[in-house]
Order: sequence, then structure tokens, then C-alpha cells
Amino acid sequence: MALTSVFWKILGALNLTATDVLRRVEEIKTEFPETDVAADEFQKWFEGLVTEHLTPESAAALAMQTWQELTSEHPGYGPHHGAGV
Amino acid sequence: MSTRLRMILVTVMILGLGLALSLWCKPATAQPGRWSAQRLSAGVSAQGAVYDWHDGRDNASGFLPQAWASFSLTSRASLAGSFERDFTEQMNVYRGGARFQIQGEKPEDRIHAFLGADYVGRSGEGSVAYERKDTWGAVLSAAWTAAKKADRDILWVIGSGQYEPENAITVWRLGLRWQLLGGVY
Repeated sequence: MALTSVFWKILGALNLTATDVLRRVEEIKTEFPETDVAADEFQKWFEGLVTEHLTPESAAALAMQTWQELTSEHPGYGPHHGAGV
Repeated sequence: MSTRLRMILVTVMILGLGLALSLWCKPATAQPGRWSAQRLSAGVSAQGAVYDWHDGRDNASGFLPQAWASFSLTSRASLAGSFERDFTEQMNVYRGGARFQIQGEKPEDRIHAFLGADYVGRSGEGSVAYERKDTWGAVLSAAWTAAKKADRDILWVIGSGQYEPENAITVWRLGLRWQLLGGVY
């Protein structure tokens, strides 16, 4: 499973789709033209979602899953890491 | 705390993270040993670069031939290092750090993407333009496998963006990369 799928899992855990995120970004940009204020508003919105949808236990489980994804070893994987230098 | 000391600390932290990752998981039996030379790959790249200054200075461009090396710690984590020479700016660029593969980890995948953090050092005449000659950068890179030989990637089209907060610059790179050594297992 690609690590990117973990990002989709996080969105899923927050009951979000990528479209929801992009739409909210556009709304905030329109409502708060100043970049710093818009960033604060986005952070507040995201923190609100986390509080609403995640418990400390489910957040820890998600973090552990991400960590396992990152540290796993699969036969035959890894030879093309030079692509990322 | 001096800049050099801070940079040494950042480098130690990056390498420490890589070491922690490598100790955390055991290689499967079909994989080479933890510190096997089989995990090493190296090669050269030819890249065009755009220096995107965020402090109002005009953007500049350059040609950056590169020698690189990579050591895969796990399926998705690796250490990376490179040396580049900008002949236009008369400048050497040294980078070393960690990479996490976020896309394209399977042997048959052709599209790859990585997130990473680097120590970045510069020397030579052109380096005087930089606020800090020793700094750190965050990297997002992507590559497409353009040529394979016996299931081994030998040529990539590469692109990356390297953001250095302390120098207020993003360096965009686009080019071709050859894998001359390794990448077999």
C-alpha cells in the first residue's frame, strides 16, 4: 500500500474528501484575503474537525499505522530510491 | 548557538532519524542485510535549475551537473547525498539528508515521489549571495522511470523543489538522472 493511501485514510477519518478541503480553502481565501489570517482560520477549521472526529485512541492507531507504513520492508522494494535524491 | 553548531545538530537529527528507522524494522529474508552495500546506489544527473528568491530579488537560472548517492534503509526511507557544481554562479552545493518515499515503491512502478529534509552547504564565489552558507532545506521530488534494463531503473526524468527558509529561496530542478551503480535487488 502506498504511503499516499494513508493521507486518504486521514481524510476519511475526518469524514472529508479532497474536494471538501479545496472548497473550504477557497471559502477561507475569499473571506480572509490576508494570508496569515487565512492560515489561522484554516488551522482552526482543521483542529475543529480533528476534535470532532478523532479520539486520542483512534489518532494513536492512525499514527501507528502510518509509522508501520514508513518502516516496513518488502522484498524487492527500495532499489529506485536514487530517484528521490 | 553558532550557525555551524545548529547545522551540525540538524544533520545529526536527520541522520539519527534514519538510524532509528533502520533499527526499528528488520529486513525480510529476501532483502539484503541492514548495512549491505547492495542497498547503495549512485550516479550522475544533468539538471536545469531556477533560483526562486522570496525576498524580492530577481529569479535566476543555472545548469547543475550532479553526482549523487542513496542508501535505502527500508522500503520507503533512505539516506541521500549529492554534490553539484553551478558553473555560471561559480558555486558548489553539497546536500545530505533523509528521504521518505510517498509514491511508487513497488519495483514495477514508474512514477515516484519523495519528501525529504537536507543539510545544504554552499561554497565558492556564488555562495556570497546566500544569507547562510550552511542551512537546511525541505525537499519534494518526483521522478519518472524513462528507461529500465533487466528490471533495473537506469534513467529517470526528475523534478524537485527545495525550500530553504533561512535563505528565503526555493530551488527548482528539472533534469535527467542516470543510475550507474546499484539499484539491483
